[in-house]
Amino acid sequence: MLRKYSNSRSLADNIQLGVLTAFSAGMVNVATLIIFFAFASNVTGHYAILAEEISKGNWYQVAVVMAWILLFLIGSFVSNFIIINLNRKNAYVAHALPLLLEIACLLTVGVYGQYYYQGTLTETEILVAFMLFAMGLQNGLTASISNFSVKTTHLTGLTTDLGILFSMFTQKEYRNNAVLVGKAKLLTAIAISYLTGGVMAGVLYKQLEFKVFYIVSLVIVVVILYDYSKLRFLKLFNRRSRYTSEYKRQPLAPPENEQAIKEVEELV
Amino acid sequence: MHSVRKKIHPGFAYGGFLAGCLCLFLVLMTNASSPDRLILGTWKEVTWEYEKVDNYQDEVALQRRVIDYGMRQLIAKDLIIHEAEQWRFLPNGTLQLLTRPGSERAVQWSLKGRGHILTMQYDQLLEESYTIAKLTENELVLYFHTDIEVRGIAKITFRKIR
Repeated sequence: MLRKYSNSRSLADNIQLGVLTAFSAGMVNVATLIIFFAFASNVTGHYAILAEEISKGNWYQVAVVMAWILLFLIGSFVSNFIIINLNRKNAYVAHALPLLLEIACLLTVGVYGQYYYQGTLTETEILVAFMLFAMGLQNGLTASISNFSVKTTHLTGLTTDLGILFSMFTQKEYRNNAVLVGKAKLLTAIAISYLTGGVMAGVLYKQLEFKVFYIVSLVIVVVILYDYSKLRFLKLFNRRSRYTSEYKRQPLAPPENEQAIKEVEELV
Repeated sequence: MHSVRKKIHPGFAYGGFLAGCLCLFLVLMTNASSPDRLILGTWKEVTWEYEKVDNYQDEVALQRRVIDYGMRQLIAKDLIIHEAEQWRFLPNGTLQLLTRPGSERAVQWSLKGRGHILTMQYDQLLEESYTIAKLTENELVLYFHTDIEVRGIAKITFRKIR
């Protein structure tokens, strides 16, 4: 899910990554909306709000919304910066690091909310800023490693693409195009996953309140550990297959006798 | 003719962009009042109106119609703000709702979002939220959904008295 980069990724890799990260993004967005009355990932909406606040001359709100948008941008920047600089050294670490940072942001909000949150406006604005940074990190990572195929928080673009694809599927030649069908599957999976995550957050928030962010962190830990376990398995598998192939390659007898053995085998 | 272009190191460009954004942020923050400071003080209800109504035969006539005292009581019957005429926002998060007969009700208030949502909590049980449509030194306008007389959005306008 995380190991492969850009064009070397399969559809299954992208669906796995898209589903899990979209699920967590849906959870974060709805939880943030319920608790703080602000979206954590709806950047299009934030741009609209920014324009509205500018037109009204509410400069305090302009500054706050501008900072939120900027933090989303910085999150995406940091994510891709880590990937392009560490990818050659260790692709897995390069891809897992932005998710670890995201977990740090989520846990900060969860712990602060659970133990220290007084409900002041400044606290609310700062915690929403953390969430936007986290979503920027996640979106930057998924978009970057999937060659811009997976964008887990960008549902406007996703719905547009789905609309275009569904209209293309009215013609047989496009319906039989495996690439387009795969893309439609990926986008549908992301949309459903995002929605499911949102519903889960809405239901869980009633019982868990700020602890809902621990659940989101857990989902991201699954993304990281899934690949880690797969990586370990692959290493083990490679070692075994190397051992087996080396064992197979081992001569059965000293080289000088091998020819004689072959001749006997042929006679048999 | 040769055009001379100075190459700027990307680090300076990025740093400059960030510094510019930070400066703009600080300028805006220091020159504008935060909503949680603007809202402090005593506010007197001036009018109750229908801002938007839904599925009503005479929608145009009802829109912007002032809600009379009797209807207002009915709409607010189950709300925390029931019968309140003066709202006193204190910095410690307490909102004193002063009613006509002279009684007082204390609830907890907080602002959410970018300062555009006013939430009230009473006895840890009741929680209500109102959208702040306008907040200036002298005027506060709140919106909330109602479905008593008609389904729609009611608008309460306040004037600061202290």
